Amino acid sequence: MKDLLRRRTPSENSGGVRRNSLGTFIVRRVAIGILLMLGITFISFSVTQLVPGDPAALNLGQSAMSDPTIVKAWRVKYGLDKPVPEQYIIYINHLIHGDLGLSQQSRRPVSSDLKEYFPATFELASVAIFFSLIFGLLFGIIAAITRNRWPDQIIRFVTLTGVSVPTFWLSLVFFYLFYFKLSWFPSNGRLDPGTDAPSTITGMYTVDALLHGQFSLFWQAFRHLMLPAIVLAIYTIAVLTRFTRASILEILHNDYVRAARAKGLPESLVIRRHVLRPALLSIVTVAGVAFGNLLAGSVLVENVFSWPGIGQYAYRSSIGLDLPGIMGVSIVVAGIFIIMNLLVDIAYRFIDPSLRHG
Amino acid sequence: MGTLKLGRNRFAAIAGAVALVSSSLILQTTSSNAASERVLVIDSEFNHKTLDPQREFEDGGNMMDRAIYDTLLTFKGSDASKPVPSIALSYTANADSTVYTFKLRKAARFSDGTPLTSADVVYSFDRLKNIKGNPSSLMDGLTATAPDKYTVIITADQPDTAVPVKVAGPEFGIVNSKLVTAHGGYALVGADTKDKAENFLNTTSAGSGPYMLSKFSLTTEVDLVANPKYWGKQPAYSKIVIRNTTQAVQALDVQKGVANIALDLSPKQTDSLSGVNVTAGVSTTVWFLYSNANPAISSITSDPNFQNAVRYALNYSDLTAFAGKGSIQAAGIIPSAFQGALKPADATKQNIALAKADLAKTAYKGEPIGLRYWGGGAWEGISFDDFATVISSQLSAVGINLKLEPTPVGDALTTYRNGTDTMGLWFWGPDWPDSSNYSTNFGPGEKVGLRAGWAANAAPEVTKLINAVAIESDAKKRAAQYRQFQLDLNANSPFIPLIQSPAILVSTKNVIGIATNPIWKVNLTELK
Repeated sequence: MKDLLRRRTPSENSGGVRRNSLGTFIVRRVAIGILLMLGITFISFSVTQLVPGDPAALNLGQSAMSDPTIVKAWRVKYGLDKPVPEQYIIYINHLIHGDLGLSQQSRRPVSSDLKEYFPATFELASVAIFFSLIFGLLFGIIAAITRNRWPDQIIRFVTLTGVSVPTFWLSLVFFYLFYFKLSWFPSNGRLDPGTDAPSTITGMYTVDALLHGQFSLFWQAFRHLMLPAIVLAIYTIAVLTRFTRASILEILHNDYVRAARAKGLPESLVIRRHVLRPALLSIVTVAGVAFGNLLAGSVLVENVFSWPGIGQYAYRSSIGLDLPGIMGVSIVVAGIFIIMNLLVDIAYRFIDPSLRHG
Repeated sequence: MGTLKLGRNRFAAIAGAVALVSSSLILQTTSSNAASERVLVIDSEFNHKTLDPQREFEDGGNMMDRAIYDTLLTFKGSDASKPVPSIALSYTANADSTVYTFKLRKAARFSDGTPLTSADVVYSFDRLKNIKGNPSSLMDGLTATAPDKYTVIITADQPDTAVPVKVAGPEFGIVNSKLVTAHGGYALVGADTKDKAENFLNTTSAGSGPYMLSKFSLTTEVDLVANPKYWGKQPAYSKIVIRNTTQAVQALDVQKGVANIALDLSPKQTDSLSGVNVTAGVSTTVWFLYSNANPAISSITSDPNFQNAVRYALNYSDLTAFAGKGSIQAAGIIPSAFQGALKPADATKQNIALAKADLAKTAYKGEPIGLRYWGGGAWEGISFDDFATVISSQLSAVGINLKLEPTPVGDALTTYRNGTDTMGLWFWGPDWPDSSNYSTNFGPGEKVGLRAGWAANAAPEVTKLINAVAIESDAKKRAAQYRQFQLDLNANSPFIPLIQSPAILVSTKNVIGIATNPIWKVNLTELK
């Protein structure tokens, strides 16, 4: 029976581990991840060099650009006076020592920028994926077990709408409706105007406020978090719903499910033990990738809601040709996907014991 | 099926619980401001990169630094042409405008209580010069010295009538020299590598202005609080919160009263607003076309007849209508607010017959002529793409076939500055609020002139005029020279001035004293 349920994990598909211990597996994946990151730095660096335009032209004003000493001083400051291969070697050398360079936009170390912006995105994406998992699984299961009946039809309509509507437009509509018209949610930003953020522990305001016992501040931060998180979650809810439905329907047609029903097992037990559990293998993969996407792809929502996350930082870096900023974001995004894949593979081992014991 | 029914109930229970939790989270927005505070909230699309006065050069930063740092002179309200006393109570200039002597106010104190003296002024100006930052060129040819504790002398290598307006700019903001030095500041030669005070100045106030910096961010919010040790009258608001918001959000916030002022709305966006005040002024930003005068770039665009054909083919009324309420036709390259600006009657008028006649004198046969601009870019509510499309449509009426070349800003700036584009659509905002900023840039062989392929020897009469106005100390004569300079440009040059952008401020009804200013958008200290 297990063989029927058995799915190939991403690592197996790529010829990865099969019967290793968890420790060895993680060590190997981390080593591969480091090599991948190195490759990504090379690709990112090369691509940013190919982008037309002079970063100095974007960062210096009209008069300053006409003064060769100012332009030279600027290039020296950011290491752009050296040949490109040398710039890359210097960058990697600094990267190994934990130095991501100096942002031309913020004029601060990129690592400091990322330390400030990433927790905001992580907080937003975490709430969004939480909503997505709850509603995506719930709607997916309901749709599957009520296949082609009215609940399924309604969910299909809603989820197709969720997948089709552009997030940017949805952000504006939700903001207009729920903030401006109905006053259900506060305006944009992470806190009300003029409110001091809690002292940084994690950088996530809700968590930090709780850790400091500032419950009113927690509530304020939480209210600000809700609307962008809901907007961000809608697409993922729709995807997870469709995927959960499809996975469950596929499994419902298997002989072993029919056999379980024929044995007279309660339907809830059949769904929970024989359908949901194997379906989770695929759903976890999608959820992992979706979380990575939420972390890396919230640019539009962050812009509309003035959410100071890495999406906004990436946008500012891109339009300002801030090469260290772009590189820093690329490394973070690559790291997110590598880590998410690793976590998904580890989760597989817990969901499907056959992967642990062969 | 009984168990399935139980399952449905569970689903319903979970859904109900989630809905309950979600609905409990939905609350009315509340203000967290203490009743005793007068807080002003401003929505703005952030463009500042720093609040270090000697490094910042964006209008957003200007607005904030204007409130934090005093300057020798300043401007009142919308008038950016007449400097008025600030830290300097008075100043005198010698006959040839090479030596300016400023007498300082003795009562001025920095926010930490330290007296402001001439040493701080000299330190700030030296730092501006030697830091080799974006605004450093403002100090080109200038040297500041302090003969005594409350006197500052600025000496110019060449006659420079713009010194009083230059020192009113926020880049000349006076910092507390001891405090800044103690936090890595360096003002002497070598400051480009030795000065490390920028991060300090992005977190702490080192000025004597009516406000102090209490929170800094490039992406979220900048907070200013009233300086209790301010030497002048205390400002009306005890706290100013400036938030980074998109235009769409600004329109909603200001109508809802969550923000008191929205800085970045376009005229079209203000049409649908209700319950707010709209202050419409005209910006000092001049949009212009150029037709490259370098024959090596294009034998067509360098032909003066082609340039005149473009000049007379345009319908300027439609262009200002396109730009929206507040916009006016740019009669010349110098904006209307400055000395020597042309009058509306001097402006170029559309003349299709003349345009066609001029075009007939050229070798142009209808081939596409590239028009480069910042693709996807917008400034003061005007989209480059839309503006270029309108221009292209107007020129096609006389047979000029433009090939629109929207280009990412970095690349577009590079080719523009290299002078390799056949035609370009750009704007110019003044580095300092004086007509000299235009005569020193738009003449033949000057910075923007060269971008348009206008070589140094291309128009000797114009060059002679530029040289004459640079040393003319009589204001009336200078104004006449600036007018003539622009008339010459309108008659025969690669430049075609188009419009001045509108300057729009939207505020709630309870904000009093709001006025647009071309340097810092709005003077926060004047608001009541």
